[in-house]
Amino acid sequence: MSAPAIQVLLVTADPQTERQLRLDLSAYTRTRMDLTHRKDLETTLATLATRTFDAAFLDLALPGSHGFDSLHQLHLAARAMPVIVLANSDNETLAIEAVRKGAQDYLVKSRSDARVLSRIVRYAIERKRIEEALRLALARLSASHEQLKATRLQLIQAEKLECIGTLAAGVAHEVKNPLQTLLMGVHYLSSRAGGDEELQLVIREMRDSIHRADLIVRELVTFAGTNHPEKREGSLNAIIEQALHLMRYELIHAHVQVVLDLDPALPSLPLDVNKLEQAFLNLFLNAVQAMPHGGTLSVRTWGQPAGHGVTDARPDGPGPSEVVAEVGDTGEGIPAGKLQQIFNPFYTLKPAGKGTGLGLTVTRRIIELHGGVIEAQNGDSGGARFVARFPLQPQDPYERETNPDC
Amino acid sequence: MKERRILIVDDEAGFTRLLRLNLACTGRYTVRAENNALEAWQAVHDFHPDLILLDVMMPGLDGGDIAAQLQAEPTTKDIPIIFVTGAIRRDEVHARHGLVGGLTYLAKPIELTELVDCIERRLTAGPAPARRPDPSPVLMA
Repeated sequence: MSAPAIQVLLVTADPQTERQLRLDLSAYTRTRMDLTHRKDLETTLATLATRTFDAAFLDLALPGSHGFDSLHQLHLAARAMPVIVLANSDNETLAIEAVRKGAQDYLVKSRSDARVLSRIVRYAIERKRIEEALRLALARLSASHEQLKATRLQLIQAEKLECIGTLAAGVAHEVKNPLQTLLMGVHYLSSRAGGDEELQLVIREMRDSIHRADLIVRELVTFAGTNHPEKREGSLNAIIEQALHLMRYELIHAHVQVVLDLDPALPSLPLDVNKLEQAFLNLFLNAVQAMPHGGTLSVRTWGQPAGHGVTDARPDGPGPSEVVAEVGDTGEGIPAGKLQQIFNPFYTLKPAGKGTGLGLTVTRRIIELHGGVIEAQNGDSGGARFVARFPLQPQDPYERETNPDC
Repeated sequence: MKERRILIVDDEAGFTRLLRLNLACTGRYTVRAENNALEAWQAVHDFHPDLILLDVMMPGLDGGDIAAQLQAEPTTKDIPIIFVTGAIRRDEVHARHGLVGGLTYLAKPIELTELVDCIERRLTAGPAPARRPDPSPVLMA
């Protein structure tokens, strides 16, 4: 079977050059070369938009176009196509410049002959092929390097969190014992204070402080220990419903109405039920505290293709690749400049003594452990809105730590 | 009404002293505190408690080992035990309705009323299944 013909593009306005090249290429019989001729850059680019060539000859003396501009345009249109420039004279400076600008070779029109021409074409094709292979290898190497750097950073981060987790657990144990002693002391003092209202007030404040310190320690441990999700295939809807069930007394007490819109066709995904329950409890608790005079807590879920903005409306198409949960309230919303900061550890918008500043940090961490993201926004008609997106095939760095049964 | 005998085994002397005072104030209990885990076995045999409040992480001997020893002994196996520890998370205890591995746990710091409620429930319910504490993942390092 004969080798396929080499497709060669010739771009020249000079009929003599075209004739000569056509003649020379046809004289070479070892491999057939099919020549396509174009007289100007515009028609050349139009042709390149519809088909490919193995190599191109480009006359630097095209009408209406400077030589190297033509070369640049050809490269943009067909980066993988080797280009041999044709010049009227043997100018070494010009030849070097052409190669620097990406030409594979430089040929003086008057000096071509069949053997030289065919060799130039074949060599140009081969050089370009190697160049492309090198470029791809470099791109792959560069991507691997970037991935390696990212993985290394993730490992460092995971190791740091592991250390913090161990430290926090140890500190928590040591702190809880004295807190317990203080609490028992407060109870004892309270039983001895009798009807002394001022003393009872002092004792109440002491007790509140103990509980606050305990809450901070617990949230710190939760935050630092949120590294090993135990995932099982499950429904986000069920987790949300359970978290709302646990919140039912707070919701009633705060006169907060719940509007639920959970997609019954929501796909299941690998979830750590306990951790996610806590993540949503934090969001619901924040919402309740943001509406001290009552309001509406809206929770909805849906599936959507990946890459949709969190503000996008629900798509109707089948096959979602991520699951979205949105929690909204009718409170005062979040000050515009604070939307990012509210996820930072120990940052809180609540009055002194009301928040630990770790709830949203923990929530974000838990969602990230599921390969997801969470954003805070202000609703169009007021109130805050938290949107969490979970990929159906999470690619998070902690995936290796999940339960192998999952 | 006969006062019930409560033994507290915890290495935190401040806690056991105040808890003993608080429980005594209720008028319902006779309380003894033991701060040395290695003496817990002897304290049980001397004091004959109706219920034991037992810390988990103590120097010398683990609370779980003490529980296992007591549950292996016919004369002490039916004494209800409540583990009161800072080594477990409160939310996990709540999520498991106070039971971890079939044993009763309370997470420190605990309110007195909550503790007394638990004591009363356990005194009514009788002994827990004879098992060592489960090395559950909810236990912190």
